[in-house]
Amino acid sequence: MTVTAPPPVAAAPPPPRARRSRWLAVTVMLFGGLGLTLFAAPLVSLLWRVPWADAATQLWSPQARDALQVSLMCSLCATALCLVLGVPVAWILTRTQLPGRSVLRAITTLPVVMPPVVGGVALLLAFGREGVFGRFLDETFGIRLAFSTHGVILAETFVAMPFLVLTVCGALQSADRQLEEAARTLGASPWTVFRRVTLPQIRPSLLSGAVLCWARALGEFGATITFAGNLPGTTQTLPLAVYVALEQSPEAAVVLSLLLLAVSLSILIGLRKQWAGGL
Amino acid sequence: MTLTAQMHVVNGTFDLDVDIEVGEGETVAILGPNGAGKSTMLRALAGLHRLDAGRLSLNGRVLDEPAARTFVPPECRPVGVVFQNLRLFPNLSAVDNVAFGLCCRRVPRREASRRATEWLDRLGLADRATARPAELSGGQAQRVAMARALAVAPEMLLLDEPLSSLDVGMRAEMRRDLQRALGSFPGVRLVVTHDPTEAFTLGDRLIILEDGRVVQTGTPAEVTARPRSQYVAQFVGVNLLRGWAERGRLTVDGGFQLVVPDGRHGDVWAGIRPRAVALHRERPGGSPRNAWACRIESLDVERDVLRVALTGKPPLVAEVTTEAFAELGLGPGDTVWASVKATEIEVFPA
Repeated sequence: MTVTAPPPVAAAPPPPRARRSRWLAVTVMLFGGLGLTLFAAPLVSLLWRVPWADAATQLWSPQARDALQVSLMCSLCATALCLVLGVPVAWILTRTQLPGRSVLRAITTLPVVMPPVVGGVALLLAFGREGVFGRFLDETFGIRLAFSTHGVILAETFVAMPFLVLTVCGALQSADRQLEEAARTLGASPWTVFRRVTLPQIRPSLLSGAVLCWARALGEFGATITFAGNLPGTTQTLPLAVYVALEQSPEAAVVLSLLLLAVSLSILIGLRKQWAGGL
Repeated sequence: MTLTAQMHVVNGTFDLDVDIEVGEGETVAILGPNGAGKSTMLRALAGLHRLDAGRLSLNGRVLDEPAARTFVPPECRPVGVVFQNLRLFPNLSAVDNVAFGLCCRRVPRREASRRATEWLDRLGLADRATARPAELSGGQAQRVAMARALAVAPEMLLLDEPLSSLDVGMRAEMRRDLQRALGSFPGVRLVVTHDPTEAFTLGDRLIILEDGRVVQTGTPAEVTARPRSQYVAQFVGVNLLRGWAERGRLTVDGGFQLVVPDGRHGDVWAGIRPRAVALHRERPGGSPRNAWACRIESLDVERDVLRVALTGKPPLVAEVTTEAFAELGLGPGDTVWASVKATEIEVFPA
């Protein structure tokens, strides 16, 4: 048996494409680097400019304390409200045969993409003193939402709830309906099924949805300032305080920004398991 | 205790229309091929699917009757279900799974736990009480599902393919335990399955379901003796022909004629056991008057018997000893003469 030798391989010159792809790689690195700098530069600058020495005193200034208090209280209330109202909304959107669900879904998702200022204007038109529901609430119960702490909570809920609804919708859709059926054959009422079978399944999503919701509420600016105003001690939240402080004492603005940034960062770290491809 | 069910369910293009009655103390196996409507039926019995028409009553209590606007939701039905994929709650321990139904019935937690442990004990799982479903073997999970369904003392027990999730080696043991558990359950017992072995070993009576209709009911012995559809005949291992009988002659659908025992007249089934089919190289003479030429389609060895699938008019399965077949000196594709004595053909009305 004869073995034929493989044909000799000539040392071919690199195809012209190789040079082009090298050029492409350089371009990608260049633009990517620029993009990353765009992200990193402001954060680094912020840390750079923090007056570490008197950061504590800045944080404990009365205005900062008030803003922190309003922010925490309102964002937590808004998150609670989102949970109480958002889970039923998600349930209606995923588990009922209600006609027009797709329209409802679009409406609940809208605040995510809508400019928050527009949200604030819309809220004013609905719940402002001259608004459709606002006048009714004022005349019947004497409740005035606009330019009050309750108004802040309402504005934050409006802007943050879609994050909870969307997360819970996804979880409800992927929850195992078969387990719910099994529970019913064992005598569980619909409420028991939800509490003991569905809830444990959607708990991780509910948690991450609530945290996202809270983060969004905490950072809310546009809708809040439009609907609730900027009254120190009642409606001035941290982001609003930062904005105001920037003109009077930039150091205070930097310290407050750092505080908000720290909160965001800890949320990101806390939730990294929930988000695929976490850090 | 009895279940009386006239069930009519329309599900897209499929419709289920069955009429069954199950008495106390008998295990009825609903057997049918995939898509026969078994799961629709099970879901309707459990209340997970509403009837479109008919009436479902258990021990005199109407559970579903659309005409009377009566529908008892699943949680209010005294029905225990063991699902095919078990559906144990993954976040609960074995004992909590079993106690789930009791807790739903407002049994105090401690008492529920005690009774659940008792059930696990009875099924030989006392040491697995704290294990999560994911930590249980297939057989153990099956028992937990069984205990969970039985713990709430239902009046009717529905088992969906109870052995299919187990590997073959464990089935025999599980079947024995299942029979014991079923035997001690006082209510109405229904096993839904597509596995003939499961149906024949667990069922005192069989209900054969095909295309949403009951095609046959009877004890396993009756069904084996007189299958009434090709589906049944296939797993029973009988050649089944349908035709018209008149004065000892059977005209099979397709025009072929067979000599059969006299006595039946009209539309009939004819059952021919594979062992009763003899094979010959040449056209046989003498007593067997039914003989026709076939082609050998395939061969299948089962212990010392050879199952020979024949194509012809009508097609048949013959069972011969390996020696007898070797003497013929034939193989797949060859022509062979099949013969059946008239007395070996069982004719029964369709």
